[in-house]
Amino acid sequence: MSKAEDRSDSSAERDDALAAVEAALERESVTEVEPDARQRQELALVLRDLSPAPTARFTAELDERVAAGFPRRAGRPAAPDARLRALVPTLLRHVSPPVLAGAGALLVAVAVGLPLAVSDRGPVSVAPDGAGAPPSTAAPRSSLPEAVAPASGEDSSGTRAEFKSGSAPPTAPGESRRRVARSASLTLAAPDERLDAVADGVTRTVERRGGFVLDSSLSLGEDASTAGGSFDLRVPARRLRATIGDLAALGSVRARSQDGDDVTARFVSVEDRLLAARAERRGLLRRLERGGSPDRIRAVREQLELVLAEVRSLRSQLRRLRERTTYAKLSVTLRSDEDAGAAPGSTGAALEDSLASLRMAFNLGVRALGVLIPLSVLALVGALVIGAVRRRRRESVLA
Amino acid sequence: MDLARWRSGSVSPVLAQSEPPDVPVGAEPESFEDLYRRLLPRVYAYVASLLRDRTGAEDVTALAFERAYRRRTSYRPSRGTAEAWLFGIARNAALDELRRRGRRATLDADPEELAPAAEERLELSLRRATVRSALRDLGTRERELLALKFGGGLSNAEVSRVLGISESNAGTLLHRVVEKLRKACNEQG
Repeated sequence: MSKAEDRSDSSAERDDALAAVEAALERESVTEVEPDARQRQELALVLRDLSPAPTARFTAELDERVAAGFPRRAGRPAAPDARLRALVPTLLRHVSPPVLAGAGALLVAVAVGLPLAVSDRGPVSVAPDGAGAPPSTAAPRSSLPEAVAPASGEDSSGTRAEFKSGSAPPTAPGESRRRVARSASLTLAAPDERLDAVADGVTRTVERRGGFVLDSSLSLGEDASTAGGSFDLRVPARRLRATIGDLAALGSVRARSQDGDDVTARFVSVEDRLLAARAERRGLLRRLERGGSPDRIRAVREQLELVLAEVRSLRSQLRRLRERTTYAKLSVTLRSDEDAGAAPGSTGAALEDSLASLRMAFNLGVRALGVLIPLSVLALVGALVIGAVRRRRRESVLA
Repeated sequence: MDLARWRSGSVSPVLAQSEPPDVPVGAEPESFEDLYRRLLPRVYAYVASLLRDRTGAEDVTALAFERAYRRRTSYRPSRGTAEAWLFGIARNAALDELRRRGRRATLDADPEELAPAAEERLELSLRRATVRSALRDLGTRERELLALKFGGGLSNAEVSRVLGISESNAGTLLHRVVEKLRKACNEQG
């Protein structure tokens, strides 16, 4: 006989035995004639009869408590965790599960989306007012915002503020020790009648982000093939991404590229050479103070001039490098394109906005799910593990 | 206090599903008080078999019903019958009590024996004594299984719910224990 048949037989035997037991319990009598089955039935009835019964006193006491709804005994307020446990079913009763799930998802979405939105600052909608003012052509260096003005060896009054030997040169806020010169280009398209407004929007966006227009040109006219413009912009490197986002909202993006050039090695090299040149200059000045023969003094002066020229040159190089890394180069090309999009305020623009909002909501939802799903899996696994451990601990007394 | 329904206030659809199987569909849902009256002797029998202490069994039984009353809104018929739910609560309370006492639920002590009725036939008394004696040789888990089945009067499906095992497994375990007990009785008899 095969193992499968054995199993089948034993399973059938078990089922028959259990059925006999159930029959005896149900009918409260022995119904089988076969000796073993009869014995099982007798055993079942004896086991049931052996079960202890509650006393009349205990039953009466508990009846009273049940009838009174288990009043809490005086001086025994419900434990905080008991109150909390009682709150969960109450919540579940009054709030439907889909609403609870939605609220949970919303909480996660806010928790995930808010930091992202804050870090990106999102595309800020700039509605060009179409005032028709030509975009500014070039911003003078003096117009740089103070907060992002490139640090240099000279302060604003022109007096020299040399770095102390051994101390790190000052860096712009948010700069790391790695120096990267960033550049980006963006090609925007807009309907012919909106070109002027978009160009104005470009200027205002860049200025709002702490940047400036280095060069710009705009051509408006009857011929759509020649209409367009170009902007050579400088924006604080740390705000480049946000600025591109803002600019992209002004028109229809046709092309976008970004590039970075790591100039850390060059920067460090120039810095080191500047420090060495300054040390040499100090040495020469000391030698000059000590005096000596006229020939010797003349030789020191000549050497000092050479060193001073080198210091100036290195300082200039350092300033240029710092400016390149502090400010990113952003080239914006503006093109006339009738299919580029609807004018702001129009139904088409509203539709575009609503689509963009939908897209953003969808993206946010996907991000939230990206967090929610692993968290749910973790919570589930945690709950299972905790449940298993608690069960095992509880059942340890049965071992 | 209105105990007419498990969930005070209105009769919820969930309650309608919480009726015991023999209650026809559409009939009045069973109140907590009815459930209590129906299950008190069975829960007590199970707890007393587990704790082997009448006073402790009373405390734990009362505690189990109180917990069940306070958590009655958490009962979901889709997860099993009201019996399985209540016996699960009683089991946890009994095991907690055993742990609190810091003692093992062993079979060292005799189960509390009820004095046989004077009119009880001799044969029945002898059979009971034999079974009691054979019960001492069973493990605690085996005894618990018998208490759930014969003291608690649970179906195999309900036993499996309470113990967190499959119904088939519960049937197999039960069959083994009954056979073990039967053989032990035969050897002693």
